[in-house]
Amino acid sequence: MEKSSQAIFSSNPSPKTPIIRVENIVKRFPGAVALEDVSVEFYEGTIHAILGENGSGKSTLVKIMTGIYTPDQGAIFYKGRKVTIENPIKALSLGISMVSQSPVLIDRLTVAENLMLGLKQLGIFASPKSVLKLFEEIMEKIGIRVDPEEDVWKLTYTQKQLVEIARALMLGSKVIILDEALTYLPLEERRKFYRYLIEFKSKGGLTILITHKIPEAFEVSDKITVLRRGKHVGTVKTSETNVDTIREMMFAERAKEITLERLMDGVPGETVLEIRDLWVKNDFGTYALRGISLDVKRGEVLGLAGIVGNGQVELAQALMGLRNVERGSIIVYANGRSYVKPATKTLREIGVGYIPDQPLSHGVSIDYGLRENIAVMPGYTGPVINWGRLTKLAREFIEDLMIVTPSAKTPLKYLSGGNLMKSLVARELDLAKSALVAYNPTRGLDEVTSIKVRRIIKEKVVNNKIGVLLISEDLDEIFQVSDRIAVINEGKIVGLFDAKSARREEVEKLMVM
Amino acid sequence: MVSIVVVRRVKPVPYFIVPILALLIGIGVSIVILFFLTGYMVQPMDVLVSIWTGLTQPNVIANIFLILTIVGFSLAMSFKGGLYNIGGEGQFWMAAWMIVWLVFTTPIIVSQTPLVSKLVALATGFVAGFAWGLLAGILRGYVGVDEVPLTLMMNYVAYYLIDWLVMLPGRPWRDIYGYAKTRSLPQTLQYSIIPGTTVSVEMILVTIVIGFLIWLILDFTRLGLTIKIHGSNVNLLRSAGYSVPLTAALALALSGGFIGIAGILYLCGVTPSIRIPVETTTSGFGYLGILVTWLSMLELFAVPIAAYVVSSLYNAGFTLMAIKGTQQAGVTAGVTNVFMGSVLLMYALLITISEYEIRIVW
Repeated sequence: MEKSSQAIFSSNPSPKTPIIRVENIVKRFPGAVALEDVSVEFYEGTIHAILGENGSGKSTLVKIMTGIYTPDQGAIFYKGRKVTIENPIKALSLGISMVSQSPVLIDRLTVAENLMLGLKQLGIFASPKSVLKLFEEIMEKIGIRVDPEEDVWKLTYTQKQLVEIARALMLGSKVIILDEALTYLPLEERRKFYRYLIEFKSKGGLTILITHKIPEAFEVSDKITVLRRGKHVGTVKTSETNVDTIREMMFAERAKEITLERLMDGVPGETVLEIRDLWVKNDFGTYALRGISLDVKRGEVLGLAGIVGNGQVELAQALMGLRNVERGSIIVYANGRSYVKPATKTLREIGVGYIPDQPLSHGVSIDYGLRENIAVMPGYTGPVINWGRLTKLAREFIEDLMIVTPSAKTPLKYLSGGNLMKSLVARELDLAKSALVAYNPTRGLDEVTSIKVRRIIKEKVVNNKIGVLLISEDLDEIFQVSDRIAVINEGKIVGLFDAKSARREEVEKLMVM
Repeated sequence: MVSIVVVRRVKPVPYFIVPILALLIGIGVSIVILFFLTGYMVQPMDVLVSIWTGLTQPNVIANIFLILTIVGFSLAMSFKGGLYNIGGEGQFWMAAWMIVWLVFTTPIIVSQTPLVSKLVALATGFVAGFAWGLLAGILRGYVGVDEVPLTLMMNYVAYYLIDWLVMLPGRPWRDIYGYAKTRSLPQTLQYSIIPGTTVSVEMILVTIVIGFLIWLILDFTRLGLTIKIHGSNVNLLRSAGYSVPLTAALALALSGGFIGIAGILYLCGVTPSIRIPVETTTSGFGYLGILVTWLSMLELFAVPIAAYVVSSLYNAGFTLMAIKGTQQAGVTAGVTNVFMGSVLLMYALLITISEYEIRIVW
């Protein structure tokens, strides 16, 4: 390791010097033990990945390290000294910051104003000029150009994530935790950022990378810790292991179910969903969709690839009658007739399923169990609810998708994020008799469950002849499931391919051009 | 180093702890307030005896208990929908007024047999309360007005409207001696009180039926489920195709309708005429009902328990007046409000303990 004049922890950073040690951490939630006696050491000047399937405890562990949760038992040591991290401010004061998958910037403020807020909270009252100067220095290092006077809502997802990362660096972070923060960045942007992580590492900084994507861990990490069902399975050097070994550590005997090979081909039939010259505005009054035209056919999956923030949310909402259409038409063909710009209720009644981008806020009620979340959907009950039948149906969903829950009545808030997502997917797949609009249906799910969900979707397409519009930022998913691939960029369709012959590099290029 | 950490609970506290503690501490606070503000004339034992008297004499508090139970159930319905119906008073009194108006201006009710006239009166009370609640519901659902100040203000609209209507000269409902009240309802509409108690069979039956009905609606109908989901996640309702404004309007209307029935029970079973000013005629069942609903933690089975306790506190004010020495201390029945206010305040403070815990970390 090179000696650096800007060393973070010690003048001679060494990957043998432990910075954070979590010892015998236990964390319980109702009905589940999230972490059971977990002990891990994190060293200076390393990029340390934590991998695990859904509900393995990886997010819980880093939330304990950043003060969002307090452990029920165990201790945290920072530079050899026992510390209590009772809230995020304490974590930040120790130099531990976290960037998660969803940027937490305030849309209506400018980039500069967001940055000031963060510094003020920590009691750092720097002048606006010095803040902006530091921001520009860091942006240059990361290799991205963002106008600090720009309103945040105008930024792309990539830019927002990078502003978040820059903020972490401006706060003088010594430990940066990236909780799925890079997963949905395009490869090119991710690689630019990796260069910075390596420089941060050379100065002795510690990066903890949480991901469920094994290849991402192999791209940049020095060490990998695997958690499974709340227990520490092992910590290995990345250079001394391989993808298959890590998969086995994560999933044990289920590892052999993982594959990224294309699923079975759909056989396209007649059109089920027709979109013509669609113009839709976003929440800020500007056009998110600019004349989109697409057809989805029964028996096929049309994958829509694109970086988040290019109109995908608005498209999904407009299709489901949840957002106004300024111009253009949406026609759904079902039950032998056509429905022009159908209302949400009609869409649900004719069997159009919807997996929204924000499952927690738009897809489920976490205060109630799976059976209530089924019952609220049209078509599952009359004016009087037959709970016996719905409970039985809920149990079928639980079994089919291996949802970990004490019962069909257990409020969804007690389930892990992955199991909550599985509950939503199960319901919408069952509801979809004509078509399914799915936005990131496997977001947050581990590889085994993701494959299972994708397989179930494709089987439904092939066997039941429904049409699926799959909107996803995960190109692995797009290529695995789709029969055709469209690319969206700045609200327009910029490419349409047959999935079998499409080249990934070409699709990626169209996504970022 | 010792640190005090305040963390959000991940495991909920057993829900009955908050109302029980709120009651105990609230009563304790009331005792202290009364002791000091009356120059030590109201002793702690006086207060405890008065509350105990209420708790152990169900026949005395029964009528208030039943009315508060209905109001509590009705408010639980709207509160579960995330809609804070503070307009129980207005819905209660508008229903009572509607019966008075119908009885003295049309033969619709009085021309029927006693049984039918009582049933029609209840149905009319429901419709009147429903309409008053629906008005608030439409403004809340379709215009976006916050229902808390809206329903509260509608109480005052109801109070002053009824006060004005009662005193209109030359109207058939005016008291024949010119007192500030309406004529009494005909005997055929009045309930027969069970000897030795303050209630009638009709009141008991209606309370049971309403409790059962509200439970059925909330737990076994799609309407009830959509109301509950409205209180949990309106976006889910929207993406399931329901009209969120309509759901909000219906929840407030239904809540108002059932409270309207409580108004009829009061008129037919407790006092057969409306006295003005309406606002001060009672201690405000619409407001007491809110305390009942909160103390029940929105659990329907706990509503009667909470109603019983609140009725006892309500009655304690009257009992305290009768205890020797307290009249010299200037205690009036309004001391009830000291009990209610203290318990409500403690509840509001203690509800945080059900969400957060304090840990001492070494």
